[in-house]
Amino acid sequence: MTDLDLERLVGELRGIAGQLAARLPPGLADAVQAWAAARGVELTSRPDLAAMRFVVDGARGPHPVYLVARDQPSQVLCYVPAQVEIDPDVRSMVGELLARINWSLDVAHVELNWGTRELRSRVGLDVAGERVTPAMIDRLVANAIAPLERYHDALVAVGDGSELPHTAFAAAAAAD
Amino acid sequence: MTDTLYQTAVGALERLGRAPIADGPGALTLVLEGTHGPYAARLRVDDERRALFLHVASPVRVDKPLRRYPVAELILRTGFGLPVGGIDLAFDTGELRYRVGVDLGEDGVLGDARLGRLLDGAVAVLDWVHPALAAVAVEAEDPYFAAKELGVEQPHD
Repeated sequence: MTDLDLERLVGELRGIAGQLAARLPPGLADAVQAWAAARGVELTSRPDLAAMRFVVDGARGPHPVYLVARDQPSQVLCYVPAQVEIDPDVRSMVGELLARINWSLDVAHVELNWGTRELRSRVGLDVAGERVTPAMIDRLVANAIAPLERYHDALVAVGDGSELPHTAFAAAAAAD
Repeated sequence: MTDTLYQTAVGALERLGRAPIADGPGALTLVLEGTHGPYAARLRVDDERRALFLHVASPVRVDKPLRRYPVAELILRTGFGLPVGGIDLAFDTGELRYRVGVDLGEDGVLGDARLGRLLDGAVAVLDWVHPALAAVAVEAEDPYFAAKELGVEQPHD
């Protein structure tokens, strides 16, 4: 599985590439740094830049997490790449599985780059000039990781063509 | 006494000039005006979790089950890169919607601006993707070309 390259990830985001080097708005920078310090998260890129990468341990293994903040519009975005390979011949089946997964979710979206087959979970928050608290970033990250933990087996099975999407989804849903 | 998140949402919607209608416990319905017609929206507020969930129905429906595969492909092609929210397809019924959720945690604040941005963002995405959804769902357009019409270019199969 690919561990997404931060520069490339950020370059893919519409309207964000030119802002990578921009300083975070003061309140947003404080919020992100306070959150990292309070949670003991080790930042692997400069925290004063608009993007950072760190690792969160989940039940299904470590998840690389990308947290991106930008201004105009002010947003905080969280991306978690899935540790899953997608066979190009079964992308339509994966499309069905992702439709079923996303219909069941309340905050995150699990998405696939049709060309590169990168699979990831995403949560975005519009800041809209209001305060971002450490608890909000906690929830942002947790919501982004949750579907990759819950649907990991289904994503692997459909992604390698060994299972049909509706049965894989049903099995994951029944496991609750 | 502090307002509940639900009360805060109702107040914010009223100040934003919306007309929310109570729709069961913790839920509100409202109509959002967009280029492709009024969109029916439902805002659910979970006070215990301190979270809001906005669902906005697309007027497009994928009636033919086999068209749901190319529509799912279109959603993936156009959704990869959206910063906030996204389009969902109910694979068993063909319904389409925009969905966004905000989890405020124990101390996050719901202000008028934040709620207004949620509503405006929903309309912007639905207006943007509507022609492509209609073309793929109803007119059997190839999702690659429909996405390309929107300015999203990823390799064809």
